Amino acid sequence: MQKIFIEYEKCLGCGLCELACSFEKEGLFNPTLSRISVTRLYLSGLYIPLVCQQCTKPLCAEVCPVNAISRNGQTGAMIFNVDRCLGCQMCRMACPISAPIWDEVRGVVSNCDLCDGEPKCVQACAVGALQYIDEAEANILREGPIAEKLAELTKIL
Amino acid sequence: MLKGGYSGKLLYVDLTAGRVSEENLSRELAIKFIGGPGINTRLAVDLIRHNIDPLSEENVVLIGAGPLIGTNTPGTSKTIATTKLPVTGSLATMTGGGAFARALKYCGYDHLVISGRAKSPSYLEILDDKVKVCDGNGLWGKGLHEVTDILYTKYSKMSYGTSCSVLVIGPAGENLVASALTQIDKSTGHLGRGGLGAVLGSKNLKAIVVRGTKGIKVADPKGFMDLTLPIIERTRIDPVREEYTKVGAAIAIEAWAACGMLYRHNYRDAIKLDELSRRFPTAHYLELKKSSMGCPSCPYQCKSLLEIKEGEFAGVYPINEYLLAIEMAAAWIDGTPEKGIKFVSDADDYGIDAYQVNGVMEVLCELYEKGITSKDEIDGLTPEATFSFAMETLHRMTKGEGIFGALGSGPNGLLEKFGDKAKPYVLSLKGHFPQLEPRANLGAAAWGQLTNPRGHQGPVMLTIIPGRSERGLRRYLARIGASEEAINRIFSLEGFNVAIDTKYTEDWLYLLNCLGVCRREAITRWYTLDSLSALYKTATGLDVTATDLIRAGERTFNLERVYNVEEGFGIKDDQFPDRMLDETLKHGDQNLPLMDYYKQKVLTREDMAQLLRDYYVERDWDPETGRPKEEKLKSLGLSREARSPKKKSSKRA
Repeated sequence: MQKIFIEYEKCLGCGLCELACSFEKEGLFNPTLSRISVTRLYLSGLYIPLVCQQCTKPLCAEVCPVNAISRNGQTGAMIFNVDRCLGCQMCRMACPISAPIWDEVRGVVSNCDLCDGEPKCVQACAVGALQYIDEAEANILREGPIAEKLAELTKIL
Repeated sequence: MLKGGYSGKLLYVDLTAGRVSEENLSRELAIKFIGGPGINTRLAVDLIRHNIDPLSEENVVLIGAGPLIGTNTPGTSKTIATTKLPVTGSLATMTGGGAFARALKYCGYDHLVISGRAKSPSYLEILDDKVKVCDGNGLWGKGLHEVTDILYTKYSKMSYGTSCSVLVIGPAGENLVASALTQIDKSTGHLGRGGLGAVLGSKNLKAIVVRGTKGIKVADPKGFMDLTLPIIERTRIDPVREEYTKVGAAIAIEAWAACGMLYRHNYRDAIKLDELSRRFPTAHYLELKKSSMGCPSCPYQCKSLLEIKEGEFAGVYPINEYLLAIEMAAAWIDGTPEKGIKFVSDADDYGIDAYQVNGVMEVLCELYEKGITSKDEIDGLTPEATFSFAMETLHRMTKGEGIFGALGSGPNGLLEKFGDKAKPYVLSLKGHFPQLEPRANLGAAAWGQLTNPRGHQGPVMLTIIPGRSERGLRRYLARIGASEEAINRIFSLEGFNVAIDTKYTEDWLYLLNCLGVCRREAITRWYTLDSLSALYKTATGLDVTATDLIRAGERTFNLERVYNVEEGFGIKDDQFPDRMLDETLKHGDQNLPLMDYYKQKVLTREDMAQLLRDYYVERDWDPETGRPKEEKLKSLGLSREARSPKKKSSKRA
């Protein structure tokens, strides 16, 4: 299964991913309607893109009182059925990163559906902070940064 | 009704009456003036009466965005302000980075028009179409950085530059110091050299917060994405991007030092590359750099977040241009990167133009050295090229203390204070210290200082780097809309004619600003006049040709000029200071006279006069006065606009 792999260290905070997402899903450029959002922590110099991680145990689906959330077997994405959505936002509260977004105009919640396996945010990322890759590969890619962090920590210790 | 690209509305805020109103942006205004400086200037000529005091209640501030801003077109974020400026006395447009213009568009407005004066300190809150003038007493007196943090915490929970943006003035603006500017999103955008900060201060307006959730549509979604996605793809594989974001705008610093552009000591000498490398090594700067910062939609984040880990100046500093810190510190006997950073960061916090402060300081040093002034006259201080005197000048100019209270406008203040005896030592172009040294490199950026309504910077485009090949420049000029005949006039038998070149780069720069595209070459090299017109067409659905577009840039430049001619500006103001014409610039062992771009010949005063005539002729302006000819204005469709608006023609003004 493929997933959106985020290397936030590479992110520059330009937000082209947010624009690509809202354009694909809502037909206009509007970061507030994007399923991916970049948190820009000004003085720490960190730009952190946050998007649904399509959890193994999705709490969003468990708390949904009307069973509006189910997994797409092919892509592994959690699909939100907008027609069933009550707008109670329990999924947003249950989610560890509050990834589902609230659409104030329609009064429903929506979420990343991996664009049916061709995520537009990844295509729009010019700096390689977002990649759509196999989970196994993502694990390998994580090893490098983890080793670097460890090296840094041991230096401090 | 506009189909896309534009938000479609103009927002008017009358601070005197506390009244807010809006108006639809008409199709005619959009087509003729595109956006940014175009629409700003068109509105300004009706709203700002001639010969008013820039700091009076009658002045109006226009802040505008462009039709590509808010979309995924890379590098489109420019906020454009237009007003009558206290430093120059001219009507001028200013540009700045940050997320302000985008957030304004997401609120539903392309342009914001601020008139009148609030009774007490205030700030303006624009949350989508809910617009309110709020009590700003709690913010007044505070530094620009602190106010930015307060507003982010209140409106954006500290995440900056998403859909929320703030524009703030510092204590210098509150104190009506003429050289006060504003900052957008802390130091992400400097906006308003020439005194926008003082104008907003005179209106009792400390800050503007914009937070928009409406987004931007485009008229032809598929056509538009077919144009933007390949550009994003090209930036992804661009080897320059990685280096550029690593180093930032300071990437040019060595090339600048190599040709003498890092002038100092009141334009008497310039730092050499070996001294720069020794005192300000790039490796050290990269150690200080914590991360890049920049504007929304731009993969070439050119600003820096720096961290000084230990010592007197330990702290985290958002810096718009590290280059600026070095330009300042290189002049001080005890200058270090850390001291330069501290100086520009404090100038940012005070909301004052560091170039003007540094210029005043250097003139005082020379006047003292030449015996024209004394310690007593300068409040007991010893003027010397040191960090501590630079900081004193900065603090005192901001607070308007002692003699420094009279020097807030820079060159004009110095001339008023010290009179004719100081004249040879005060280098001024329309009230600004020239920012680009023509003796180092006479490209369009340096030469264009003559014709720019603010005088401190021409179009900083390709010829900012010396010695570009003729072939490359010809290709570039064709790309930005110059005709083959015009290009042949630029490359005549006498070599490269920088004056004629400036005309075409000015029109291109004004068009970029109208659309909202950043002028930095890292961005503009992805665009041509043709590709921009395709983007404009698909974004807005308006049928505009490439020729129409570049004419809009030219129209805007001419409208600004004709307004300023009415204000008394003309050929007398389009002249380099004597020192640049008569003296050489010491650059190590070399003495650099004023020469042409390819350094083939030394330019005399007659040569310079001829260049200015060439420019006026190319612009179809009167070669004797520099006034746009009636026929020219008619052909640009500006006959009505050019008529002197002696009286207020809008009830809102």
